[in-house]
Order: sequence, then C-alpha cells, then structure tokens
Amino acid sequence: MHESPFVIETTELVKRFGLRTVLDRVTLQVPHGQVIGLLGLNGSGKSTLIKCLLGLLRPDAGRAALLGADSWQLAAREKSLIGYVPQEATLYHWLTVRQTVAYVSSFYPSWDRAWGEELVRRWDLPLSHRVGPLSVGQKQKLALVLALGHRPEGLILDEPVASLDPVARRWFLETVLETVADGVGTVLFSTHITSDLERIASHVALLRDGRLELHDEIDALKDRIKRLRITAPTDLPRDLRLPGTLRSVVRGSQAIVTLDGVSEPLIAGIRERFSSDVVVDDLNLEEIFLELHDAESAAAAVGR
Amino acid sequence: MASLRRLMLVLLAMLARPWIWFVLAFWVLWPVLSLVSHLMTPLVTRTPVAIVSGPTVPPNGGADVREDRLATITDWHALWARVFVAVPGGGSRLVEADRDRSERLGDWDILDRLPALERLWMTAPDVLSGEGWRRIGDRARLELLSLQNVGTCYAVGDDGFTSDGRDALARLTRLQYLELRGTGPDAGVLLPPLPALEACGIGWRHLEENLTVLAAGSPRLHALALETFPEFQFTPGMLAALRQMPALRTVYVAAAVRPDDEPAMARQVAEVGRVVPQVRVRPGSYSAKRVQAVGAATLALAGISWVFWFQAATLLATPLAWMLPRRFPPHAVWPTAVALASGAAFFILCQSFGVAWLPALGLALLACGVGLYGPVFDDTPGWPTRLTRLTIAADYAGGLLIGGIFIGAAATADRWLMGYEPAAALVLVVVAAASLSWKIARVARLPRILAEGGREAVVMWRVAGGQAGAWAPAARAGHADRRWWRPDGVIDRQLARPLPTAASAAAAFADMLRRPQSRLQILLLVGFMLVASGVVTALPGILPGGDTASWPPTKGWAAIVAVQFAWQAAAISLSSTAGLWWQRRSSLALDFLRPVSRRDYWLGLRGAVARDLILPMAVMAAGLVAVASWWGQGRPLPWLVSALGFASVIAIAHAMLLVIATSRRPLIAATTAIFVLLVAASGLFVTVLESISYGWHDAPPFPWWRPIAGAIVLPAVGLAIRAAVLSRLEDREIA
Repeated sequence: MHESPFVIETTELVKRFGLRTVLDRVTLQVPHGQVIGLLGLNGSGKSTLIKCLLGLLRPDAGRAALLGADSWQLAAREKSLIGYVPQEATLYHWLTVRQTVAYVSSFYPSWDRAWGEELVRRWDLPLSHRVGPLSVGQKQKLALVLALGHRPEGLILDEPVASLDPVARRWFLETVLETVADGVGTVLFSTHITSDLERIASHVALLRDGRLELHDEIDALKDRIKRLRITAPTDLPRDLRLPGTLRSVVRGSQAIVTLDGVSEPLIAGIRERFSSDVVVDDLNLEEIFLELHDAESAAAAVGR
Repeated sequence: MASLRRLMLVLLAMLARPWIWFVLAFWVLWPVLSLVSHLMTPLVTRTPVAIVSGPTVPPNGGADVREDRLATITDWHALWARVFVAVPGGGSRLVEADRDRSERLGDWDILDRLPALERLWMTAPDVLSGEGWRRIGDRARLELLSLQNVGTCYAVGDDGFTSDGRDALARLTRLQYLELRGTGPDAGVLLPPLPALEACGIGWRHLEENLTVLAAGSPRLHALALETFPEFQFTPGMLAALRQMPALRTVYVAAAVRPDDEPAMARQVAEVGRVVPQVRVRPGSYSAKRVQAVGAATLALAGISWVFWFQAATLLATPLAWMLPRRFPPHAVWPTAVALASGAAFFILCQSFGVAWLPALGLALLACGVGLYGPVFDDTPGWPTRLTRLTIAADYAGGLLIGGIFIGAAATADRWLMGYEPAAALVLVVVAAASLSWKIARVARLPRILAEGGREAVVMWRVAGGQAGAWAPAARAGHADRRWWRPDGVIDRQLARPLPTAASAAAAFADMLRRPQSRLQILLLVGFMLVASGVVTALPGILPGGDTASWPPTKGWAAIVAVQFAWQAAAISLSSTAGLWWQRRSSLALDFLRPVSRRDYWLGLRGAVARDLILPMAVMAAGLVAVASWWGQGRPLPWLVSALGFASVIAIAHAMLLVIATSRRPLIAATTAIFVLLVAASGLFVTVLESISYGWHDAPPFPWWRPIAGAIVLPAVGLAIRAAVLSRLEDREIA
C-alpha cells in the first residue's frame, strides 16, 4: 500500500500548450475512498488535468501524483492499482471483445476474472464480436470493463458515460458505487451529467479556464449556495449589495439572488433591511454549476 | 505461465489484424521473391569494374543510322552479332550481320562513315581482326575506346593482334580512356606511348612491358585496371612501374571470375597496396548478383521488421496501453524476436554470399530500424524531438546513400560488402545501433508523444489540402488537430453551401503546401526524390569504379535523370494525393449533408479526385514524352504504347483514389489500391521499355507483339477496373 494519504494529488500544477496556459496552478488533493466529480466547461482543462495525472503529459510546473508516486514516473505497481476510462475509448478494432478482455487482463496480476465476466454479462457485451463494428456506447462499456476488471484502488473516468444509454449508465453508476462501497475505491469522475455526480460523488471540483475554482463536499456546497426570492413592498435597489452574490436579478419590488454563504442571520438581515419576504430555494448541482458560470459571465460582461 | 500467456496474447493481438497480412503479402513478398530468385541462380561470375564510362547511345546508333547522320555522330556503340564465322579448312572470315536491312552497310565500313567519332564501344564477340584494328586506328579523333570482351579473329598462335593493336593505338594520340580487358587469354596488345591517357584497363599478357610504357609515356594516367588470374604473381618490374606513375590514384586488380577466387584477389590487392600505399588499390571485379541479393534481403528484412514494429507501436500508442502495467516488454519481445530471427537469417545469408560480418551487421541494424521513423515521428518542442529527427535524418541519409550505391554503383557496394571499407561499415554499425536504440526507447513513450502532439493514434502518413482540403467543411490552413473537421459553427455555415472545389489544381496543391505537416512530408519526399535521383545517377560518375559509369554527362545521361525525376515526382505527387484523400474519408459523411443529391455528390467527389490527379498525371505525361522522344527512335510505337498505357494509369489511379477515399476498411483498401497502382505503373513502364527496345533492335528477342499486347491489355484492364469501381460507388453507404 502507498504511504500518501492522497490517492490523487496535484500541487500548483501548470500545463501550457504553446502560449496557452491550459492548467494554471491547480492544487487538488483527493484522499482515499473519496468520489470526486470534476466539472467544467468544454476546454476548461479537465482532460489535460487527467492526462497530467496519468503521466501522459508532462507538467510545465508543479507536480501531479497518483497513489503518492510522481505521475511522470508511474511504475507498474501504481499502474496496476489504477483504472482509466478515456473520453473516447481507443480500442483495437480488429480484436474481438473476448480477445480484448483477455489481452488487457493478462497485464494485471490482480484481474478478477469472475468480476470481469460479471461486468461483460451485466453490460451485455457480445464476446465474439469484433470491436471495430461495435457502437460507441458498446465500446465505452468495454472500456469500463477493462478499467474495472482488476478492481482498481483509484479510478479515473474522463466523461465515461456520455455515450451510454440510460440503463447502462445506471449499471455503471451502481458499479462505481460497489467499487466505493468496498472501502478501497477512490474515483475521479469527469462528466457533464451532474445528476450522475450527485448520485455517487461526495465531492466536486470545478475547473474554469484552467484554474481550480472550487473544491468542496457536494452537501456543503448545496448548504452554502442557495437561491433567495425576495419580495418587497416597494421597488428594490438595482444593486442589493449582498455578500457572496453569485447572480442577482432585480425587477421592481422582486429580486432573485444566488448567494454563496447563506445563513440564518443573513436572511434575517435581508428581511429587516428591505422589509421583505425571503424564500430560500435549495439548488441541485446542475443549478449550482449554471449559477457559478452565470456569475462568471455577468462579471465578464461588467468587465467589458 | 502468466507471462507466457501474456506474450501469446500480445502476439495474437498483432497477428489478428488482417492488415498485417496484407502488408506482409504486398510489401515483404516482393523482396523475398526477388531474393529467392537470386538464390536460385548461383553467384557464378564476377563483372570487371568499369574504369571508362559505359555506352550512352543505343547499339548500332539506331535512328542515327536510318537518318544517315553518321558523319556527325560522336558516339558509336557497335553490337555486331555473329559476324565472324569459321572457314572450312581452318581460319575464319568476317560476314555481314543479319541486321535490319537498312543497316546492311558493311561492318567495318561503318567506321569509315564516322569521321567525327570520339567514343567507340564494341561489345560483340569475335570481331576484332587486322582490318578492324586498321579502321579503328583511322579514327584519329577517338578519345574513348572500349574493346572489353571483344574476341579476336586471329588464329591460335597468330601474334598479329599484338602488333596490329600497337600500330592502331599509336595513331590515336587523343585517346584518354582505353579498355582492353577481356579480349581473351591469347590476346594482348603491346601498348604504345599514349600521352593523353587517363584511364586504362589491360590484361595480364605483356603486363610488365605495358606498365613500363604507361609509366613512361602516360603522365596523366590516374586509373588503371589490371586483369589477372588467381595464380598470377606480380614481378618486381611490374611493381616498380606502378610506383613510377606520377598521377596514379586508383588501381583495380582483378583476379576473380568465380567467387572461389576472391581470396586470391584479396591477396593481390594487398600485395599491390603495400607497394603503392598512396594509391587506392581495389578489387577489379565485383559480383552484381551478390549486391542484388543482399539488397533484396535487406529490403525484406526492413519490411518484416517494420511490419512488426508498426504493429507493436499501434498497440502501444493508446492511452489504454499506457496505463497497462509492464506493457512495453511483452510488446517489444515480438518485433525484437522477429528482427533478431530475420536478422540472423540475413546474417547467415550474407555470410554464405561472402559478405563480411561488419557490413552485414550494419545493414541488419539499419534495416531493423529504418521503418520505425513513422511511429516515433515527433513534432513537439524539446531535445528528444530534435534527437529523434536527427536519427530519422541519419537513417534517411544512410538508406539513400546505401540504396543509391547498391543501385548505381554496384562495384563500390560489392567492395564494401566484401569488407574492404571497414571504417565505413563501422560507422554504419554505430549510427544504426544508436538510431535503433533511441527509436525503440521512443516507442516505449509513444502515448506521451502522441498526447503532447495532440494526436491519438500512430499513422503512416499525414498530409492535408488539395481538392480534399477544399472539400473539408472547415479548412483552416495550418491547423494541427486531426479533428479539425468536426462539427462546430463554422461547419454549420459551410454545410449550407454546395460542395466546394479549389479554383485549380495549382491552388489545391498550394493549399497542401500551406499546411505545415503536409509541407514537411512533401519536402521529405521531394528531398528523397532529389537526393535519390542525384545519388543513383551521379554516383557512378563521382565514385571511381562505378560499374554503370556514364561520365561525363551526355544527352543519354540527361534523359535518364529527367525521366527519373518525372517518374518519382509523379509517384510522390500521386502518393500525397492518395494520402490526403485517405485521411479525408472519415469526414465525407458531413459533405453528404450539404444541399446536393446523391448523384451530384458522387459526381462532385469524382471531379475533385480527378482534379487532384491533374498534377501527378501531368508530370507523368512529361516523363513519358521525354522517354518516347529521346529513346523512341522516332518511331510511332513508343508514342502509341505510352498514350494507351497512360490512359490506363489515369483510369486506375482515379478509381483507386476513390476506393481509398470511400472505403470502410481504409488500411486494407489503401494497401490494395497502392499495390494495384504500382502494378499499373510498372506495367506501363515495362511496356514502354518493350516498345523502345523493339525500336532499337527490330529483331528478336524483342518481338513486336509484346508492346502491342501491352498497349491493348493495359487500357482494357484500367478501364475495366475503373468501370467496376464506379458502378459500385454511387450506391454505396457513406460512413
């Protein structure tokens, strides 16, 4: 077993492609047994971060580590404890599913044959079919089998479920939960489907323009970020000047405000200040994600 | 046990790919068959190293004779067949050859009609008589006289050859190049002083006298070829004369006709070398068969090794493979094992051919690594990239130089193979070993190389542009991402327009050149073309001892260079076009979404491919025109054959490019299409040569029906292939 308390760890990680900085001093630590969702818009640096973690890309500065080992120097021991599913499964199109599973499994001393067969059966993969003609979703399922068959200690998933049908997606999420439930699994899960994250992830990290904007527990995030609907007897000021405002829309005597850091005293203060009614709405992860990006857009608009 | 299972599964993963068998069949089978054909015939005779340039005109002058331009002819290559017959009762006499009626001009009389003659090559057996010597002596402007292997008509015991030859040569005061080897064991000329002589080949008879005369009377002599025999012993007088030649730079000593005689030749070379250490002393004969066999074996080894390394690289290149623990050793085992086994077979084969171990090792290392350049080609910044490019450049230069020498200067190649140039062989071993080691190390890091370069898989060929570029939905010059065509806002707007085309073939080609990766590939290929042409054509002239020396340049030499350039330029241009349509195929479905009917879509695609063919076909046409006009002897047959064969190549090229662009199994389709194209081009080449040979000789073994048959079969096959492809194309699925 590794000595580091973190399965996944980056410290001040910087990666540039030419003049473009794709990752800008990203520091992320994922301890043992945690399922973390990695969110971000297209081009925010999620796949680059994952490739740096896997040692496929060399950081320009900072450090990336898996299971305590420097990612650029990953040894066979660490690799045998990691499972990876890329955004697009690049498999060998001329092999059959059976041959592919046999080929990959032969590299893992800890390959659980029964578990592999169970996954193949669960996802209804045609063993005797060649990989080339399989659908994108089937290929993705096969990639998941190959990533999970050796019961990895750390699982890195780069948008793995985008091509899966709803049934397969559910199976997949349940499988990930089983992995975590064993008590040994740590999962980094990059996806745009936030509802999936809510079902399995305990934490979420948000990348924006290569920077780690947010890293927190999902429940804490939900507790912290709320939407307030304010109704006052008279017109409200255009700028309510509320602390932690992510987004604010004021129309006459009504306002909708998303705040980071909602508390009872704050709500009481709003009621008193504007003599208004305040209704607090809980937000799901997708709404939080959108609010955060709306805030960014609004800030950018003000800047312009 | 688990390791063995892993190894076998890796092997299965390599061999299960159908493409590997196609490549083995197409690209490896040919050199293997060539090698087998060489092995079937023993390495019997060795060829004397040439010290004067070879004939630069067709035998007997061809059209020059017909056009009655003999008075202006400066070069004459006489190939007189069986003009000497035995006379009943002993002796022999000259008779006219059974040549074309228009050339029944008398044998030696022709020489009288050549007052401007400067170079004369005679290659017929048993023609040289006293009369012949007299007529040759009359040609006072001769600068080159080659009588190599010309037998004499003198009766056994008649010493007239010696004196007649001496009298004739004494009148040739301008003679610079003289070749008298191979005139038979009884024939030996006593040389007169020849003050202008620069290169000379003589036999062992009267050798001491001749060397003494040359030392005293030929101060400009720099190349000397001595024909000896295995038991021959140099006398002190011979060696003393060699020491007294002030301008002598190279001496060729030939003691070997059969391979068994090579040790004796090596002994004589060493003996002369000790006497004149400042002079290059080299073997005077070589085995063309050995050079060809070793060349074919090297190609086969390179092909086999490349196939397995490429397959290993394909397996190793994916991110999935990157995360496999201990992934590299099992993947490297098989290509290494195949390379080692093939290399060992190659080494044993070379030993059986009499090749020294150092050049054999160097060739084996070079062949095993030369094909790896594609997988490890890197375009990311940093010193590893620079080092990779350096190794690729070294392979490129080494391969070209060795290939050029093997093709263009077989004598030099054979000398190197025999171990006479150990330093050059050692350099090759060191450079090839270093290059191979570095490339194998890079293969181990392939996924990283690809990830840094924004690529996802190993490819053999990366060009873009041309009409294919014009068809691209969002053509952005210089964009390195292979996924540039994927849907975005630009594509949405472009899809609303009908199929685009580049303004012209030139514009399409310019578009290809604007893209950095295309430009690099094309420059590499054009560089290859230029260097290869230069090496193959210039080496025989530059290197002493080129067996096909045609130096100084003549009209014939210029034609050879021009035609080589044209053919190679056409091949490169065609392969570039094939490469970019091959890459373009995956996005053709997007083009189908444009506002076009299925019929218009296919017509547009056919038109775009046809326009991309304009440039390579124009270059090929120029080459054919050069061939037909320079070597066609003014006859219509080469023009007819060229035109019909060219039509066939156009039809096949068009069809094959469409197959490449639209196939759902691109690697197999591309391999097959390129093979078909190569066969078509080779068929055209052979048929045109047949028609030219017929024009030169007008007689068996060059019958008229062969070029005619080729001219009929080629277009028939070409049009049939095109029709078959087009008939199936329009209704095929687009995906």
